[in-house]
Amino acid sequence: MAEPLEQRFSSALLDPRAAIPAGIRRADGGDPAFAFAVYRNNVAVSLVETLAAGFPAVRALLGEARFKAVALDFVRREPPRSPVLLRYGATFPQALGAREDLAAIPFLADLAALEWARIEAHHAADAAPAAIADLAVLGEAALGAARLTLHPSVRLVRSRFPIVTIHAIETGGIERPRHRIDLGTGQDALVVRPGMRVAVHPLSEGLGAFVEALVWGAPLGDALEAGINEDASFDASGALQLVFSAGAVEGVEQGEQDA
Amino acid sequence: MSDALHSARTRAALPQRAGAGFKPLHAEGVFDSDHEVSWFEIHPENYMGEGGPMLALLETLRARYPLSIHGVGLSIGGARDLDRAHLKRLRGLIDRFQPGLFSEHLAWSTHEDAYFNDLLPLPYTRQTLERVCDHIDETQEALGRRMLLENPSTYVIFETSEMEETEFLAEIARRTGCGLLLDVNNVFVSATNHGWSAEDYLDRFPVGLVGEVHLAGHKEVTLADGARLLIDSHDRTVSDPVWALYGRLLDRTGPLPTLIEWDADVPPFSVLAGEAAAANRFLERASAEDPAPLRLAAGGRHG
Repeated sequence: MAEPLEQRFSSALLDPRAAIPAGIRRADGGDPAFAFAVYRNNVAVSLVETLAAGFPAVRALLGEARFKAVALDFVRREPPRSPVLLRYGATFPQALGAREDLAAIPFLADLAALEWARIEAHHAADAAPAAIADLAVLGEAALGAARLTLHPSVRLVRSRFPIVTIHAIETGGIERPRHRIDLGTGQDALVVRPGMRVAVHPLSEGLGAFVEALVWGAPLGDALEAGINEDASFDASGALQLVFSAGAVEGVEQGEQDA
Repeated sequence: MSDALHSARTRAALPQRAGAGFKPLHAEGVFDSDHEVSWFEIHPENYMGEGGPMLALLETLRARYPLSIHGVGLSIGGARDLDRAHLKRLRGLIDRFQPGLFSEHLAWSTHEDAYFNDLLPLPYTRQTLERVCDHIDETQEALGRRMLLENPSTYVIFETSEMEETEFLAEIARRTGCGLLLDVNNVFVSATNHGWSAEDYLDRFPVGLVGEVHLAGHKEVTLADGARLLIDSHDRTVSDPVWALYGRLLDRTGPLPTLIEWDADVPPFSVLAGEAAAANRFLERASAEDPAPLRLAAGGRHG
């Protein structure tokens, strides 16, 4: 008896066209649908607000009304699966990318992925970053086989579009330029929270390939090679400086020595 | 182990003064101003990340104030089995932050795999009573402590209900040994919406089991057919009739830890502190007048 009630209640919460559950009423004898609408509204508003708080650049770009409609559609299709709402929205970027009515904004899914990466970094485990001096103790011969353990907050978002710049514009981090920005310049984003603040570092092409290799756990030599393969002007020592100074490295592991 | 340190935290029970719901945006006001808020309450679900600024802020808060952990996501009133992973996360936060109290709601929020982020109502029947008691037994076991269960605010009633809400809550407490969290605003909201007398509700409530009181603001909406409904909106000051009910309650119980809740359109901290100061006037009067003969089971740890 209680289970079907909950089932009907749940379906009707997420589907505004569904009939309200039988067996509920109002003390004044009025139509219980109007009171049930309060629950429906609470669910919709609170979950849309959760997404709005997590994806401010997407929200600014789409405008309030359009964001609400898109977010509500997502809430109805993919409601949270956990009461821990700081984990809600992981699939929102994909859902945005799959919408044909938003195809005119080709970078939207990548922009949302950057915002999701910021959320994850915000709540990631704390750890003290390593210093580049930790590499020196290995000696040059051992560098190629060494592996960098990345900070738990590190996230990499690679994009064909200038998402770091767009994010900064939409969230007020930089002034909106007078001219259209060149959407043809891709930006990869290194997101990291070495202390209590999330930072986003735009990466040139070779750096993106380098960090991606590190994320996959490649030895340092292979990661540097990945950078060079993608960008002939890749600067290996600059790349190392960047990941350490960003606080993106938690530790240095000595690799297996070549026989 | 560092026994003294451990027990200092463990013993930080909530004082019989006003507390407030903690908002990170209030950190400066909380830590850097003189105010009458003696303790803080948090929703644990907001602190279930691995690390980062939210947990760091909670460490700072807990170092300076007694804490109450008030869950919103356990779905104790739901048909579904409790989420073991969620219980484990709650236990982790409780072990780390040693709150004076842990409380949850007589409501459900999850069905199958969907979490609705709202406190949904249940009919009061023999069957739901068994289920809620099982869930509370399991929670108290998993958390290693006694919990408080909060009375809900509701917008509809169920044809299948067999018991009054006060009777239902009293029976749960009797069977499980849990305490109760009495939300006076919820009493007023539900009573108004369903045509009960809020005074009768309070008079029937097993007030000896109350370990904490909640006060909050509500709003009135007009439904599509013109009827008026109160919504537990937590977005404004406590209304006069709710203060009056609170005074009536304290006349019976003596002072109790009392929380000012404010979760939407959150004002500057000074406004919450002003509400807390108003609650403290009631608490001071109650402690001067009444030796609290009924306050038998407030606070405390399980076992």
